[in-house]
Amino acid sequence: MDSILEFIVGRYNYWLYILLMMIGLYAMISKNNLTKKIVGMNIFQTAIILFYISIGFKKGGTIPILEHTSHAVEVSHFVNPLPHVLMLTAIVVSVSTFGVALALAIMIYREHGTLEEDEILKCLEQ
Amino acid sequence: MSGTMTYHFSVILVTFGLLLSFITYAMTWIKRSLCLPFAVLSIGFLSYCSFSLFILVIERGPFEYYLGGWPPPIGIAYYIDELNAFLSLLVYLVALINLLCNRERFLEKQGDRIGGTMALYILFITGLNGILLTADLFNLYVLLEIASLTGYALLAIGDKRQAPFASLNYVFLGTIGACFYLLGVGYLYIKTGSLNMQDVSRLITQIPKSPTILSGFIFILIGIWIKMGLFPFHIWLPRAYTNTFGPISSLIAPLGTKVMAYVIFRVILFVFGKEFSFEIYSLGHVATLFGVAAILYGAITALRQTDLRRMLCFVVITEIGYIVAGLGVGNINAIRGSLLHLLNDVAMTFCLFLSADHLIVNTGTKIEELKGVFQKTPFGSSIYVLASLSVIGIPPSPGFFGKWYLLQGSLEAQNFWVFGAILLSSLLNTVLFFRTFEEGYYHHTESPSYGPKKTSLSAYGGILASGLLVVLMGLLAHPIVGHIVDPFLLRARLP
Amino acid sequence: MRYLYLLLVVLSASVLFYATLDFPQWGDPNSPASLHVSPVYLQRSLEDTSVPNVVTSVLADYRGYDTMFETTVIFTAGLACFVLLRVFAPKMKDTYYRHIQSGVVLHIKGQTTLLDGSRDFERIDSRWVPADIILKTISRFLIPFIQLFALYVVAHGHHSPGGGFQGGVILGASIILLSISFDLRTGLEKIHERGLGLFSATGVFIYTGIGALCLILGKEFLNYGVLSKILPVDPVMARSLGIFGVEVGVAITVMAVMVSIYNYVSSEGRLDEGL
Repeated sequence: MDSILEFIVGRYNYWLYILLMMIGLYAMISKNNLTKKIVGMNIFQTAIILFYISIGFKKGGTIPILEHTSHAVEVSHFVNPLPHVLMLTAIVVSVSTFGVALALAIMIYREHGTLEEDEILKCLEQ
Repeated sequence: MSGTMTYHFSVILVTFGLLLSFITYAMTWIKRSLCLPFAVLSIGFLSYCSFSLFILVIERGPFEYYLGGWPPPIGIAYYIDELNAFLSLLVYLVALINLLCNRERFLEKQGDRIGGTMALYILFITGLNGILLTADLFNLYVLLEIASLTGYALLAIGDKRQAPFASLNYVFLGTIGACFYLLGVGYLYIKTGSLNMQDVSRLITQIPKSPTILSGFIFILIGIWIKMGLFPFHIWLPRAYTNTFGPISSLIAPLGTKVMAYVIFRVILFVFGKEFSFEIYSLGHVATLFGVAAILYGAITALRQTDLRRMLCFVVITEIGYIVAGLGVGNINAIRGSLLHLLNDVAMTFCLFLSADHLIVNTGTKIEELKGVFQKTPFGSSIYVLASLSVIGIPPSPGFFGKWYLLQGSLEAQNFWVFGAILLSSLLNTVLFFRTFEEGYYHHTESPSYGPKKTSLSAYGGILASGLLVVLMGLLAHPIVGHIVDPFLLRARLP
Repeated sequence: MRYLYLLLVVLSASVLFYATLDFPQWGDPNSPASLHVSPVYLQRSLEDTSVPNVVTSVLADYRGYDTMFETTVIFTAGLACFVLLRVFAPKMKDTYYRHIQSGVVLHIKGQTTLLDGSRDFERIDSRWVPADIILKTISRFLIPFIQLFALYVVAHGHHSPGGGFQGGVILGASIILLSISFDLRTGLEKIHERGLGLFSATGVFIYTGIGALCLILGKEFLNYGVLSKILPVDPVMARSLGIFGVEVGVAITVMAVMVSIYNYVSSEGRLDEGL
């Protein structure tokens, strides 16, 4: 029992990202309103950022900024910098995708006057 | 150029693409009329670089390029071999011909925004090239996003009612695809600690049975499959490619999906390896299933279409099915066939979309509107016939050779599902294309307006060049297999 | 249909759970990710690049090539908004002027710049609401400090959390704050569309240009060490300076693109009236 509890508690970040990701995925595939879908997309991408940052964490580690004086760096004192770098890229990508999606939503609204998917589809079939 | 300088062509190809696209956009705000000629010159220059790189690789064999001077696992590396150098040359050729052919139409459609559009155009092909050349899993993701973002923006140009909606749908699915890929890379990273393809592949062989690696494999595959439009994940494809502006569809339809198909081969054969994918886990069965489903679905659904370009989109889905089915069969002949088909398909689909676009401009988007088009524009239609015969697989055409190897491979593996699906779909494609020929050739409109609409000489030149590309790929099928595909398979340790 | 979606979500979640079974403990300093490549960065950052902030050195040097494309992604987003939304013919037909002293609004049919230079009249949006005096005054006070802080974040990225992206976003936010608290025209007067377009291209051009300069000087792309040939410093310092150069480029692009996305999206691409 203790080992199961330890297993669950020891990985709680990972459970959270799964939850967040599924919320995003569900919003993206099932919502009717395009704005909600775009928001879902953003949640989905944020979940992956949480996942990567969790990979980089070390217990007792601090931010990876060294001091000029110290010569021998004790690696376990600093968190892993690589996932942070990768996620900076992912954040930028998610912002950019968000921008392009908004621009497309504006174009759609300009043409159809609505952002509800079923109404747009009805409009397109005519 | 000195010997060392030529190695730099690999990076010049991608980074100068970026530089030139920035200048093209900046010119919007300085002198707008120069944007288009500058874009043409840029792509011309990049094609030249790509050609020199290809010659270099053929002469001296594959090589690595360390960006920033940091050797790989620490830094990012490029790995250039015959196959990706050739594919990159094809990408640039297609982009150049397409732009030369449709210069006036771009200018007419985009007007003052031409600089931005051209910058997106160059960024798109640059992104695809980066995807081809890189040997780093995360770098591939970033470039994938560049190619996707530019793709979303370009596809939204076109029919105002339909195109933005289709493109936004593609944004959602494309983002799911890219995020799944990123998640898969994260799973590989958490178990191996590396992002370089070669390094990851070395580390995976030590922990082949880990559930994390398996999930990473699944997510990377699904991510790329969404991006390449394989059957159950293809829902974004027909709508996005049908409603966009013609010259954009003839750029993205042949290139986008095929480059992602190349990524599948790269990832399966060089990151996970043959043992992991085919022997420990049965990728073969899954890929065969998806491939056969895609072939049959594409071939049958295409018959139901009334819109010419939409019909061609389903032909693209069928072609993707061939490539994946060949991978699923898994023996050397089948994979050789599917790689050859991938290369040929770039030329064939391009020629098909370009000439079909020419027909659409002259008549209308519906198939029944094609009546009498062969009289109206005999030249464009004959290139269309050439491309469609090649897609069907008439012997001296490039499509034939790819299918031949695929059939041979599936017979050797006793995989009659793939064998049957290829034969059946070829038959269905024959019916499909002859229906359009019939409309175009035999039916005459009551008041035939002879002669095509005003089409510039360069447009004819472009269509002719795309036809020549198809013919060349057919004539050179043997050397392509010998010098480009086989070395790749040899390095993947396929017997 | 909804159950199908739920099924899909549960299916993906179960694959994710399955993958997690094999994960190392959260925060485990001996996980493979912490042992294979990343220690090299921590150990060598100072001697290789003389940058104490390892995130910055990995971002702009060891994996600088990724970051170049990342900046390009930002540039692409701005470009996409321009191509998709920009309408050069303004849709707004009428012009509105407000007499500042009396508050009387003149509604002029058609486009005009008749009273633009006038001291007694100000041009207003068609859906004008009186701007709050507190908001205006506070943002007028704050904006210079925000911009100063942004420059600090860019310049101090070597030694503290920060760098081009963060600084650029703060800089862009200050201009967006101006556009929100006054109106879009005020923001555009400070930095107009042409300037934003050129800035966004210049920033990425600086990044790629520094990379290409290294190529011309005879080393690999983005190998800043070779810059010591033209700068009066040793290769390690040259790397540090190269990183700073690209960070400045990143900041310029991010600033310009953030502001131009705001401009295009808030005015639906007409750049006449904002929020």
